[in-house]
Amino acid sequence: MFDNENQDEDLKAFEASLGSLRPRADGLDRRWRFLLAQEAALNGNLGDSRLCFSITSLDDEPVSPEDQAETDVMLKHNLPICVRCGGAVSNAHNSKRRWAWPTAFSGMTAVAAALLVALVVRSGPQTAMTGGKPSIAIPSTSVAENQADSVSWLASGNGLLRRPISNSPESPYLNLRDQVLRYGVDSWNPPVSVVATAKIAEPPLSYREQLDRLLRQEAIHGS
Amino acid sequence: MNILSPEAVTRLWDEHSTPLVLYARQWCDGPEDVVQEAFLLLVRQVVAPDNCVGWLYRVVRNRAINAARSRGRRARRETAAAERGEPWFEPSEGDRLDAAVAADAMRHLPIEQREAIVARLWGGLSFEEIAQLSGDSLSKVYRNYQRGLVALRERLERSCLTTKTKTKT
Repeated sequence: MFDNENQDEDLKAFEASLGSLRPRADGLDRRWRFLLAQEAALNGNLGDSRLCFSITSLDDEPVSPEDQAETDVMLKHNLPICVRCGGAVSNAHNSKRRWAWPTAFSGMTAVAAALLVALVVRSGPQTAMTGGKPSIAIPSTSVAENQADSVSWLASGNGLLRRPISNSPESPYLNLRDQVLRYGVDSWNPPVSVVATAKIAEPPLSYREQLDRLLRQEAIHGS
Repeated sequence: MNILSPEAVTRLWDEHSTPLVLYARQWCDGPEDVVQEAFLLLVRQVVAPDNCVGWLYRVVRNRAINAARSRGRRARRETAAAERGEPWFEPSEGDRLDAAVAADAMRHLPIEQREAIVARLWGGLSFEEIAQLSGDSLSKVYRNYQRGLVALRERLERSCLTTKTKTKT
């Protein structure tokens, strides 16, 4: 029992002597960190309850009476202090920051609206809607001519059509398509030009063959 | 709404920054950064914590452990730098304990015992607060504290004997 008490007393004495050692903290930079904290507070992270630190109270350097008085006034009226210059943050500075985002938002909206108008107004491919179906302007090629021939041939009644093409405002091609779909492909007697075109389909001539043919035609015309 | 005043923050800094640095030093090599970040975090709190000291110790503990983990992942070669050890205490003048020897002895203690000793002796936390910090039971924290003190005393006595023997020879 006595030994235990002695041990406890020894331990308490050792505890006291150990506690008398002072921790070392050379790397702490209080002023810099508090300036950062103040900047964070001024940036609005704290809203209405933002903290306002006195730079001079955390600084070891001597402070002029004017600066101290200004700081006191700012602290008294709870005015924010600029962390860069140490002065009061002016209303103009605040108003600039306040209008920055709305201005940017308005500008971007205007640009977007202008682009939308340009997109709507710009000239695109000409497409005319006729009777609910788009009629596309077909360039005049030999195929189109052949189709026009065949349609006119069909319209003239020379084909095997059992009924004439109606006088609808639709294009001849659509009428022909409806006809073929209704009565089958066999019901369509292609015009001569189309048959001829199909028959003419030959393998392409080589350069030498074409040259020979031209020379032959030249010879015929010359003679 | 409980708002932390600048005066309160300054007082907390003056009273607890250096013990917090020692506390963070148990885990990581850059304890000053950890402590400063904890104070920054405290200043940015809209509503002040109920127990600011306990809150600070918890934040410092979490951040120190995170810093130690990230550094451990980064490179094992820094263990040599950690073992080199910066002085934990200011040089003692006329004290019975040599600061460097005490710090060296503390380095050899398990982390649980070190944490309890530092938080209790220099941080001034109660055993209940330390138990909340570490997530251990109250009895375990108390046991860690007692065992740590005993082990520390034995180690210091041994080192004193060794020093005396060397001096005699």
